[in-house]
Amino acid sequence: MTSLHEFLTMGRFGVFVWPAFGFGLLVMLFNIYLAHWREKSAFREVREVHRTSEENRS
Amino acid sequence: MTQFSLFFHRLASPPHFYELSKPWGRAFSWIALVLILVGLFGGLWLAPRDFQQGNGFRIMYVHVPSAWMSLFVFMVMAASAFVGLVWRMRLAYAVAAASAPLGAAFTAVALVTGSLWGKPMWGTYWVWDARLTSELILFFLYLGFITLNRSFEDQQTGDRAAAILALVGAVDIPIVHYSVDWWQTLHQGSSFKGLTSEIAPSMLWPLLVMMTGFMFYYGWLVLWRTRSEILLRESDREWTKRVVGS
Repeated sequence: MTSLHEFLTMGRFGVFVWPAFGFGLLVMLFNIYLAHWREKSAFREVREVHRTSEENRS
Repeated sequence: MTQFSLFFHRLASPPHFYELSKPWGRAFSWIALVLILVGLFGGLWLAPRDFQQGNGFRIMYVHVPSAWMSLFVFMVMAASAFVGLVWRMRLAYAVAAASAPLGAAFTAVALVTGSLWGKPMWGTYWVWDARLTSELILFFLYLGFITLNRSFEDQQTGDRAAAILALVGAVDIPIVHYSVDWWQTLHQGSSFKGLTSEIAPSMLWPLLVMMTGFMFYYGWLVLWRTRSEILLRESDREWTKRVVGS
């Protein structure tokens, strides 16, 4: 890469290169969010199971 | 029992895996972040412009690692499915279930970035050639696995049904990989022949760094997601009560 202008425009390929990297980044971040959400919902579900079994016992 | 087999035997225990995977996942996340940042800098700035494709070739730094991971993750799923079906190891089913959404995501990225690369190079976003079609089938296999895995009231039935799909679907992996050799395709041939590559070293190193970064990224997320899958599968066990702090 010879200049910042070339970097930003990617020659005439910026319209293809940046959306490709942008989409890749978006999906990778979404995966992290999904893993976080899945963990939260698993915790909630496990708490619910134990709460129900405690209630049934008492 | 040797130390090695003892290690794997203990690893298969869900509570042990749950605790062990935490620090490993954290380490993987940092390694992935550093490698991907270095790979991006190398690929987007340091690597020279291609004499034929100009700067358009830089899409390779996100397309190739994603495509490679789409195949690798399905192989992990098929291997886990095999272990689950043969040895009835619950952890193996959890790994397969945790891998499927990640594999689907890698495949989607490979398809979309491939299309964005195809337009300026081939003049079209999509052609029904062997490589693209078999990769699209792989994406549907991932979706099928996810759907099948969650379609049953009984999780064990869902795990077994999805495992069979993963084993049968693994047939698509060599088809995707060798499609460019077996058929006349618009997609270019493989740039890697065994351990050697036709890519110039100045362009190759960022690609290898990105590929390694993607591997660690997958490692981090699969450990994270597997922990959640284990919790859900073992929700009635006493040890999960301690983990969630209820």
